[in-house]
Amino acid sequence: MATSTIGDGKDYSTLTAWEAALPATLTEDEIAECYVSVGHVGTDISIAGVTTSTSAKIIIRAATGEETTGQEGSGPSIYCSQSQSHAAIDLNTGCDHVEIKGVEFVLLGSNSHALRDWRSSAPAGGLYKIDDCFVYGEGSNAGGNLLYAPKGDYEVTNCLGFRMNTAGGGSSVTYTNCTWISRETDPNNVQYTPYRYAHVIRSYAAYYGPTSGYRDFLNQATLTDCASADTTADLLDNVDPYSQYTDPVNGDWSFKAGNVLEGAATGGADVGFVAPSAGGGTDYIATAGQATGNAAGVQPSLTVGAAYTATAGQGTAQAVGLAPALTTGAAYTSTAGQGTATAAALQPNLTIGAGYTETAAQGTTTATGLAPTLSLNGSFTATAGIGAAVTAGGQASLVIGEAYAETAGVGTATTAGLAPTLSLNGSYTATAGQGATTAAALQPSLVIGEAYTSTAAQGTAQAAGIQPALDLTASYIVTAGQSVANAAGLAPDLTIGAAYTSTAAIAAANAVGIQPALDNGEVYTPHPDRTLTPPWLARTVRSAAANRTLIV
Amino acid sequence: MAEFLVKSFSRSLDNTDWQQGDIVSVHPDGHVWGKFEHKPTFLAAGGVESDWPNHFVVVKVPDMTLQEAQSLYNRPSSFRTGMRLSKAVVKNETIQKGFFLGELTFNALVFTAALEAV
Repeated sequence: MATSTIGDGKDYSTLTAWEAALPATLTEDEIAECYVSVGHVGTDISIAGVTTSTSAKIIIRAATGEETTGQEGSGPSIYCSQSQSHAAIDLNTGCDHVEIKGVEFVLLGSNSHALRDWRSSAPAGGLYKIDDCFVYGEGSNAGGNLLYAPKGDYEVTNCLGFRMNTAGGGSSVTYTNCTWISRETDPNNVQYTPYRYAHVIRSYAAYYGPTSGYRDFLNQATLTDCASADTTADLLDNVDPYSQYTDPVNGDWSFKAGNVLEGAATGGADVGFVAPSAGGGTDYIATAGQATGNAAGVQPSLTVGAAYTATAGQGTAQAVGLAPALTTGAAYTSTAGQGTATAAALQPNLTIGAGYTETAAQGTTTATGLAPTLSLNGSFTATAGIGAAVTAGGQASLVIGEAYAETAGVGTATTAGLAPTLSLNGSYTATAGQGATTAAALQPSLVIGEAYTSTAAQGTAQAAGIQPALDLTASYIVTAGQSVANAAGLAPDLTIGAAYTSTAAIAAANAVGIQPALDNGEVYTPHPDRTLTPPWLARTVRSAAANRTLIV
Repeated sequence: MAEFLVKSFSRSLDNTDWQQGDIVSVHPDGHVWGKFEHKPTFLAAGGVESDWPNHFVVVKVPDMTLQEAQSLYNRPSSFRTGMRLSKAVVKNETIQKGFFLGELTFNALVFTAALEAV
C-alpha cells in the first residue's frame, strides 16, 4: 500500500500529477489522500495506461478529517471544467478496481459527469466503489451526472447529489443510502431519471422532472425501501426534500425534526444520504512516525465513542497541542514516549465518561498543565514517572464522579498545587511519596461526598495546611505517619456531616490545635490515646488527693 | 509567467500514455509545487538527492501568460495531452545540467523558457 498526499504543499499538488507518476501496472494499492486546498485537487483527470487488480487498487479518498459533510467546499474537490460530455475523472481500460471516498465532485455543465467509464467492457471481478461523496452542479441550474456509461459492478453508498440531472444507471450498479435532488429550475428540460436501471436500496430521489415519462424512479430499477418526491418509489411518495433536512441549500443535510426518512426503512434504517457527524465514532490510531517534527495541531478531534491511541514516537519534539479533544465516551491512551520534552497542554480534554491513562515517561520535564480536564465520570490514572520535576498545576480538575489515583512518584519535588479539585463523589487517593518536601496546599478541595485518603508519608515535613476542606458528608482518614512533625493546623475543617478520624500517632507529637473545627453535625473521633489523662494532670490529681482536694 | 509540469520519462510505449515531454499541468507563476513534482521542493523538504523519483521537471516560461499557456494546453479529455515538448528538452542529461533552453516553440509561437534549476 503506497499512500501519497494531494493538495497544497503535499506530495503532489494535483491528482493529475499523482496519476502521471503511477507505474503502468500497480503492484499494491495506490492511495491518493486528498486535502482541502485552494481551488480543486484535480480537474479533468484521466486515469489511463494503468492496470489494477483486486490487491492493487486505485484509491482516491479524503484524508482523515477532510471528508465532505455535504456542504460545498467542506471536502477536497475534483472538478469537471467542461460543460458538455466531459468528466471530472475518466476511467479507461485496465483500470477496473477503484475506490473513491469522502470527496466532492463539482460539475460545470448540464451534461458533464463525475465519472465517465471509457472502458469498452468490464472484466469479472472488477469493482468501482464510491462512498460518502458529494456531487453537485456549479451554479443554481447546473445539472450533470454522477456516472456516465457505467460497465461492470458499481457500489455507490451514502452519496449525495444536488443540482444534478441523474445518478446514472446500469444493470450492475447498486445505490445504497443515496439522495439525489435535481436542479431547482427548468424542470421541463430534465431528461433523465435519477436512478435508471440500477438496484436502488434506501435511496431518496427528489427530481423535478415531468409528471410522466422520466420521473424519480423508472420501473427498470429494482427498488428497496426508497422514497421519492413523486409517486414512483416503493416506500414513501410525495416527500418534499426541503422538509427532510435542516438547511440543505446551505449544506446542512442533517435530518430535520419531523422528517419521514429517518428510521423509516426495514430494520429501522434511514432512507437516503446520512450526513456524517464530525468524528463519527471512527477510531484514530497514530503511528510511530506521526507528528514527529510537527509544531502543533496534529491531534484529531474525536467525538461520539471514538478512541485515540498514540504511539511511542508521536509527539516527540512537539511543542504544544498534541492531545486530542475527546467527547462522549472516547478513550485516550498515551504511550511512554509521548510528550517527552513537551512544554504544555499535552493533556486531552475529556468529557462525559472518557478515560485517560498516562504512562511512566509522559510528562517528564513538563513544566505545567500535565493533568487532563475531566468531567462527568472520566477517570485519570497517573503513573510513577508523571510529574517528576513538575512545579505546579499537575493536578487534574475532576468534576462529578471522577476518580483520581496518584502513585508513589507523582509530585515528588512539587512545591504546590498537586492535588486535584474534586466535586460530587470524586475520590482521591494519595500515595506514600506524594507531597514529600511539599510546602503547602497539597490537599484536595473536596465537596459533597468525596473521599480523601492520605498515606503515611504524606505530610511529613509539612509545615501546615495539609488537611483538606470537607463539606457535606465528605470523609477524611489520616494515617499513622501523617502530620508527624507538624506544628499546627493539621485537622481539616469539617462542615455539615463530614467525618474525621485521627490515628494514634497523630497528635502524639503535636502540642496544640489538632482537633478539627466542627460546625453542624460533624463527627470527630479522637484516638483513645487523646483521652488519657496527661501526666501533669495525673500528678495534680494525686497531689490534690493528698490534700483532700479534687482538682479537675 | 506560466509554469508547466512536464513528464520526465515515458510510462509505456503506448503513445496515448504519458510520454517524456508531455505537459501534465499548467499553473500560474508561484505555484506551490508538491514534493514529488519539483526537485528543489523535494530537497527543501529533507529529501535525499538519490531518492528523487524524477517523474517531472518544471518549466518556467516567463514571456507566456497563464491564459496563453492554458489555451495551448487545452487538450481534449479523451486522450492524454495536447502538448508534448521535445525529448531533447527533458532528457535527463539536459535536466541535470540545469540547461537554459533559450526558447520554446508552441504552435509556431516562440517563448523564452527555462528549466527550473535541478
